[in-house]
Order: sequence, then C-alpha cells, then structure tokens
Amino acid sequence: MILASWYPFLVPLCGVMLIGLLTGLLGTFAFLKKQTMLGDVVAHATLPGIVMAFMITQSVHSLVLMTGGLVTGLCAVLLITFLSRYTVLHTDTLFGIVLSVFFGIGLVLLTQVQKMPIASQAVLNKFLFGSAATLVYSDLYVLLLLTIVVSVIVAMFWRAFILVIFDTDYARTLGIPVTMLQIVLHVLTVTVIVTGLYAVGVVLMSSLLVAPAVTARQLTRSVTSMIWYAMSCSIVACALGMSVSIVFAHVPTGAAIVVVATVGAFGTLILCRELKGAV
Amino acid sequence: MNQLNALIVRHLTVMYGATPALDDISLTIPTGVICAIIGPNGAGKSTFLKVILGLIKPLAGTLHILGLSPADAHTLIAYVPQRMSVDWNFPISVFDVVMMGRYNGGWFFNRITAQDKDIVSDALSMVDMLSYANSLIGELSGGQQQRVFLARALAQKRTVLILDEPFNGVDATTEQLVMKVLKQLSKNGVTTFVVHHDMVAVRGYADWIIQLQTQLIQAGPANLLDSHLNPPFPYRAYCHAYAEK
Amino acid sequence: MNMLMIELLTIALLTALVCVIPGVFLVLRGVSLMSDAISHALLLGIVSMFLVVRSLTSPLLLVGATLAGFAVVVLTEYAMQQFKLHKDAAIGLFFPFFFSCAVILISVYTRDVHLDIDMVLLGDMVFAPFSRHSICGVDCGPHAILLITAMLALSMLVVGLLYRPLVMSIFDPLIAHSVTISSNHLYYLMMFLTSMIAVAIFSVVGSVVVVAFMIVPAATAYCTARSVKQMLVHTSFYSINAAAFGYFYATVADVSIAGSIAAATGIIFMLVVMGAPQTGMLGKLWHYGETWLKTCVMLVVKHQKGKTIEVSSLKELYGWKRWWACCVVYYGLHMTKLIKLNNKYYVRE
Repeated sequence: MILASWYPFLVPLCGVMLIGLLTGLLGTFAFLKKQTMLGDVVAHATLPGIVMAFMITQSVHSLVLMTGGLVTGLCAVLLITFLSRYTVLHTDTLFGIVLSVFFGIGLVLLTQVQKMPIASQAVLNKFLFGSAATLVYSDLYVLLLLTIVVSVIVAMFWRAFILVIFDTDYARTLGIPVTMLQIVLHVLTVTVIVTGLYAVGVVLMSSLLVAPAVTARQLTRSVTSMIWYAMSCSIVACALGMSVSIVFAHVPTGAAIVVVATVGAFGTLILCRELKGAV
Repeated sequence: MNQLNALIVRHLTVMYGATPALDDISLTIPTGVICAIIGPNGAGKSTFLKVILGLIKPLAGTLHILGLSPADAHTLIAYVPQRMSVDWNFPISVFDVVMMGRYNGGWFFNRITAQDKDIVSDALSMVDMLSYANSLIGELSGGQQQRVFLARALAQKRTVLILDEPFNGVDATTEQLVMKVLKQLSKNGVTTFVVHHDMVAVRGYADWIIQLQTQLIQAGPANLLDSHLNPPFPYRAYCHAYAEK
Repeated sequence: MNMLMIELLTIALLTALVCVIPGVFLVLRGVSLMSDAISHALLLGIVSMFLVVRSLTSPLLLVGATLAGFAVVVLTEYAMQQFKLHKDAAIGLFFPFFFSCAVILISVYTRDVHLDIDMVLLGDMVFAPFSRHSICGVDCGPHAILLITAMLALSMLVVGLLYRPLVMSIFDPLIAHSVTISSNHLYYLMMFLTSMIAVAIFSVVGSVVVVAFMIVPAATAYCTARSVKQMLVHTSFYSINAAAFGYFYATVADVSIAGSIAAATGIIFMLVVMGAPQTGMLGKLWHYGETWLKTCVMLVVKHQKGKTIEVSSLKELYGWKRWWACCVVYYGLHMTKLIKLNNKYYVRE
C-alpha cells in the first residue's frame, strides 16, 4: 500500500507489464494460427458489449463493462467460426465483416446512450485509447489472477495446443478433443484482449498481439522459446512505452507502447535479414 | 490366425452436400496386409480414409476397424496425412514433430520421457532421417517431409497404419524407402492402408487392392486382380468394370 | 422530407455506391482488412499535413491522407515480400504504428486546435451538409457530395478502362504476367484508388465504418454472384439498400447514421447468407436434406427387395439413429418406393 503511494506509477507499470505478458503469450498462438488480426476484430467487437453493459447497469465500473465486452467479443469469435465453416468466404473477409458490423452496432448504441443525461464520453475515450495511467490496485489483482489462470491452462495443455495448431486432423486422430481446445484458446484470447483494451485501447490492440510474435519468430527456431521471447519483448515494449509516456507527459501510453513494439519488430526483421544475408 | 478382420465395411455411403462421394461400399480386408486404395481424382479415396479415421460421419453404412467403430478405434490407428495439410514454416524441428506421435493424451502437464525419446530416435533412423533431427521442417525437401510424417506415425506404434497419398511429389529414394518400411511393418503384423493414384506402381508393394470410383469397382488380393490393373486401355477397362457391377 | 434530409440521403447513397468498386476488389483479392489499415493510417497524413500548412480546410490534408493510406499498403506489401511475413501479420503490424504516431503528434503538438480524435473514428455525416462548396458565389451543394461523386466517376472510369486486365490479375497473376499485364501495378493502382475513396468518405463515416461500407456488401455478393459483373451489380444493390434502411432508421431513432448503415449491411449479410434461395444456408440445408433422404431410400430399395423393412434392422444394417430411419421410411412412402401392407413396410415392386 505504502509503496503504491510513493511511486504513483508503479501500479500502472506492473499492470501494463502483466498485460504485455499475456498478449505476448496469446499473440504467439494467434500468429501461429495465422489469425493475428483476431485481436483487432475482438477489440472492435467489444464496443457494443461495453455500451450495453453500461445501458443495463448504469455503472461505469470497469469489471462490469469488461464483462459486457467479453460477451460480445466471444459472440464475435463464435460467429466467425460458424461462418467460416458454412460459407465460402475467406477468414480475413469474415474478420472485416464482424469487426465493422459489431462496431457499427456499438456506434448506434453509443449515440443512443449519449442522449442520456450521464456522461459517456469518458467511457468512449477509455475504450478507444486505454487508460493505463489510471490502473489501480484492484485492477492489478484482477490482472494477476488472470495471468495465473492463463499460465496454468497454457502449461497444462501446452503440447496439445501446439499439436492442434500445427496439424488439426492429426490431432483429432490422436484422440485430442480439438474443438474443446480451440474454444478454450479462443476464450483465453478474448479475455486477454478485453483486459488489454484497458491499457492500450482498441485501435492498438492488434499491434500488441502481432509485434512481439513477429519479433520472436525472427529470433528463434522453436515454438517454446518463441513464446518466451514474445512475452519478454512484449513486457519490455510495454515497460519502455509506459516510461516514455511518463517522462513526456503528453504522450499517450498506448501509442507509445505501440510505437516501441513496432519499431522493435521492424528493426528485428531488418537486422535478421541482414544477418542471414551476410551469412 | 487373427479372428478379427482389419476392416469390415458394409453399405458405406458418404455425401458431400448433395454430391455422392462414396456409394454403397462393402468390403472386408484381413489383418497384416498392405492394402492400396486406388482410383482417379475425386473417386472418394481420401473420403474413405477420413471415415476410417472418424473425421467424417457417413450418411449410411457401418465401418469397423479390428471390430471397433471409428470413434473407438483411434487408439489403434496411426495416420500419415497429406503433406499439403500442414504449414511447413512452423517453427518446429523434425525431432519435435515426430515426438508428437508420442502424445498419449494425458491432460496434466504432459511430460516427455526418456523412453519416448528413444522411440522417436528409432523411428527417425527407420526412415533414414536421424541426421536431420534438429533441422527445421521448413528446410526439408518434399520427400524428407514425407519421411518425417511417416516417422511420426511409426513412433505411435499402432497396429493399423493409414497413409494418404504418401508418394505424391516425392523422390525415388523416398518412394523405395517407404515401400521397404511398409513391407517390414506388414511382416510384423501391422495392417497398412495406402491411398495411391498410380495404378501401376501399387503392384510393387500392395498385397490387397481397393479400387474406388465413388462406387466400389473391385476389392481383393492383388494377384487375383492383376489382369484388371494394367490393361492396355485403362478407360475401357473402367467402363467394363462399371458395366459389370 | 426537407432539403437537408434529401442531401443527407444523397450523401449516404453516394457513399455506399462509391465503396462498391474498392470493396469488390478487396474481397476478391482477399485483402479486406487493408481497408481497416488504410482508414486508420490516413490520420497520420492528415496530422502531418496539418502541422505543415496549419489549416484545417486545406485540400493538402486530403492529399496527405491519401499518401499515408497508400504508404501503409506499400509498407505492408514490402514486409510480405521481403520478410516473408504472412498477410495478416503484415497488415496488423504497420497500421497501428501509423495511427499511434498520429495520436502522439496530435497530443503533443495540437492540443490547442480542434482536431478531435473522436470525430476521426466516429465521424458522422450529420455534419457534412454544413461545409458547402461554392463557385462564384453559387451554392453547389455540400463538399461531400461533390468529392464523392468525383471519386465515383473516377473509379468507374478506371474499372471501365481496365476491366479485363483487372479481372485477370486478380484471379491469376502469373497468367496475367504472361500476357504482359503487370498485376503488381494494377494492384497498387487499385489500392491508391481505394485510399482516395477512403479519404473521400472518411469525414462522412469515420474510420472503422469505412470497412463496413466497403467489405460487407461485397462479401454478401461474393456468396450470391456467379461472375464479377454480377458481383458488382449485387454489391451495389446490397449497398444501396443498406444505406437507405440505415439512414431511415437513424433518422427515426436519432442515432449515428454511419453506424446504422454499417449495422444494416450486417443484417442484410446475415439475411442473404442464411436465406438466399439457392446459395443461402437454409436453402442448402433443405436441398441437402432432400438429397440425403432420397439416397437413403434408394439404398433401402436396393437391398431390401422382398423383405420386411423394420426400423431396428435398418438401424443395425446402416448405422442410422432411430429418428433418421423413421424419416427414411416415411420419405420412401412419400416417394412411393415403399408401401405399407398390413402394418408392415415393403419395397414396392
């Protein structure tokens, strides 16, 4: 308690780093499944959920809003899975459809809400750009709990997850409950994304899932170390970005993190290509 | 002498949407043989495999592998899928791919034992890929990739082996090696099903043949069916076989 | 219906129409999310140009935005080719960077100017009729209408002139190359056009809804059309309907017009995908169900001639569930291939 009051930025920093850890972990899975834009889709799909949660409960408590976002985020993922099985459309087209339509519905609801006498502009800004600087101690507990849960689940099913992603049919013939594991992975991803929205906001969520995974892929040859690298890069990017935004007072945290992460990824790409070329 | 037959199929009918993939197939295959499944493109060969593996549910008909239904038989079967089904840029080594075959379905922090590692090494040396154990799969040629897939199935140590087009786009060395491995397995009592599009090459290794073209053209021991397999006019032979049915 | 409403409706319809061509191209090419990338990236162009010219009404802002949108496409393609990144990873890597830079520039340098990020993302056409264009003092209508009509004319011209090369290059770049069509150049040309159009409608609908306007009607048409020309026609149809219904709902309920139209495109998509007579899910299900029953009946007819047909024996012989076996028997009766005699079922001779 005392620590938090002495160093006002310690809590947000820890929070952001935990989010970095989680997005680095699940971003790697998304990268390997070639579904990296899922982060962007889910992030946009949470808007109607957040607004509806607000409309129903009239409260701006973060857990309430996040639950609403979680529900619509999961609906979005389920809808994409359903449509990809029963229509001829490509995955990225489905992503585009779900992303924009859910967001459009969210907009309609939002403009509906804005007519109500309660100020909702703050809600919107939080959603769009994240509010890392206002993370509090209780948020930290939630993040810590989430990190533990996610880490335990991933460690338990580690080999099964890799198998399912690498060769789905073969995994089925081994008797692995493929559908269940895919659902578990989706639920974890959506939960992490909804939580991460809090730090960096909607638009920048896809970057946190993509950039660390891209960086990690260049640095290693095995999946296991790729995960560790991705988590480390993500944590570093989040910490650096947060520090930049603390030092330069007007720079928003989310934007700073994304810039650091992307520059890191791009730099690694170029560096590794040069090194490979030199060899 | 085994009491159970490796495969008993009765009235198997599968439809993809509104098109028939398999139409009223009935056959019996004994254990310990190498059985080739041949037929032109779109004949339903891969579909047939997928029903055996339990990946597709048929519209009608029953299928039993060693007396068990496909859902229960997965513990007896090792599958070698087509090479195209996988992303070869995945960051994983040859050894780790073959190790996947040792996954025993445990849910709690599935561990890799020393025995697993030995089995994997043995499987790799059977297919002559032990020296590539630490290479990334993306660095391999087509034939080498196929051998890795085969090693993965061998590591499972099952009594039924199913290969989907293993000879597609592989070099002659790999082809010979795979045929040698299959014959070895057959001596040890393993039943093998191989989908192969080359009607001539199957005579080199297959004991039994299943000839499919949505319907069953014929199924039986290779030596009894020889005369139908390499006719001077294959298309005419197909028509005859079709008409005779 | 007063003048204002008519103008708004016109803007809505024009916006929907102008998105047809880029939408069809993006969906056919499989790069739908590039529209999301472009619509976010162009903020950087606007902000950079603004810092240079210090005026919110300069047309250079639009130029900067188009260039920024195009730049993100070029950068993404470069990453895909040079670093062998997958399409989705490449797209997701760069556009947040552009957007973040824009956000940082806005926060640091323009705190005292009304460059509202909210309007960027959520922009609404309600404000469009109020910035009008006049030549020699004669009111020519809102900026938006003129700009969008110009873009529509331009895109129709491009597609009209280059229709066959475009179609070839989408389906098979290698074949196109062999007849000296550079699919790369065509691709970048279409992407530049897309960027221009995104900029043109940007002030009217805001970033994310651009994706809805471009992608969703085209995706709907992808499921129902049987040729590229048909796809263009179907897309226009779905687009205009979505715009009209969305606009009227928004007017009645007093909510965001852009959001309503986006939601309408989605509703139309689900309706078509589920309910279209031959290509829709429900239609297919019905058709399949009939075919399956027919096949099963023929199977029974083939093997059960002269024998009593019992549901339990059908279950065993063909592995059917009880309800399906009953359905087959009843369908067989309906097809008059089976008959019922003395409470037992037989194959009809």
